[in-house]
Amino acid sequence: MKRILIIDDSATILLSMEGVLAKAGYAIDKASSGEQALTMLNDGLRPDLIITDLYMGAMTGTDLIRLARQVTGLRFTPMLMVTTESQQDKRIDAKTAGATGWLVKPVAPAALLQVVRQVLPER
Amino acid sequence: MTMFHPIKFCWNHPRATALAAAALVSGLGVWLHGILPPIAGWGLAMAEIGLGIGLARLLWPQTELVARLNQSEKTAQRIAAELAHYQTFTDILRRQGEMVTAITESAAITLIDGLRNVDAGIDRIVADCSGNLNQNAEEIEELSRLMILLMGSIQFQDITRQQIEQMARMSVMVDQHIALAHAALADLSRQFDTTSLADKLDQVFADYVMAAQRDSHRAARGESTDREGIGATVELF
Repeated sequence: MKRILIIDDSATILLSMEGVLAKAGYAIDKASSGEQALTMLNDGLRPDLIITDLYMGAMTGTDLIRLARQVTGLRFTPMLMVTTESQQDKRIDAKTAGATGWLVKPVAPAALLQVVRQVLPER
Repeated sequence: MTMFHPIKFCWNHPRATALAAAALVSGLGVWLHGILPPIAGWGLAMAEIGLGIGLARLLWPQTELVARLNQSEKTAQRIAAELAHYQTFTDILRRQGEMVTAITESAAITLIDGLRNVDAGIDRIVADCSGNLNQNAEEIEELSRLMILLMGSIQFQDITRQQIEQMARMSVMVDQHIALAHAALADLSRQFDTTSLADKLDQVFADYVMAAQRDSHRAARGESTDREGIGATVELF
């Protein structure tokens, strides 16, 4: 079973995405901040996909992706940004930091699943 | 702060001086009329009026100026008191916004939990009725699809939370501005040299994250709401 780490400071987003992705057959790990996610990754968690919010307090999703890319074994792991932010320059920042894709909230479940299947193909 | 008393002011200060001076001039005129020949009376009367007007011109403008300054001070005090209430008003708005966020978050979590339980229940029923699955396959598939759609739609709570938080930040910004205006009005010798509200509006605009927020801001300022530079809602790099 593919494992997905979701990071968001909103409890409802975490539950919503977990509900949609778990129903589609993915194992879900959750973190409510970039710092917590980074700790989980440094402690050995190796998800097949990371989905992160952009604004979550001190550490942004872009910061998290930049740091996560330096963790052993995560260099090629797909990392998606899911955010309400619509400005193009923020999107470019995320891309530069190593994000795989950008989704604007609210994300329709069908669109989310389509992207997840695209970046996380079944082997 | 010194309070201005209009009645006391009018009769104790320059206006009274003006009247006293006019009375003195008038008395002088009466005395002169008594001791000089009648032919000089007309000329003296004119001189008397001229002197009175001159004194009034000298003293009345000063009196009006002080009266108007005092009226301005009263108005400033009234505005300062109104602004203090304005801050209470925005504080109430923020607190009520926080309540809305808390209520919708709690409701959304309850809904998701409920949906997951219903979903798990459907899965159990499907497992128990494996013999009849073929008959109900389409219906079960439709229920499952609906369940995922409902779970996804709960994201509305995060969107509304962010919008309410943005409104709260804006009201804090206006409150701080009003507090400075309040202090300046309470003490008219104090400078009111802070960033203008127009500049703060620009700061607020820069803080938005949602296209919808930027659009409503532009609309409020009477600007075009054409969305510019917004990429696809889903983009893979």
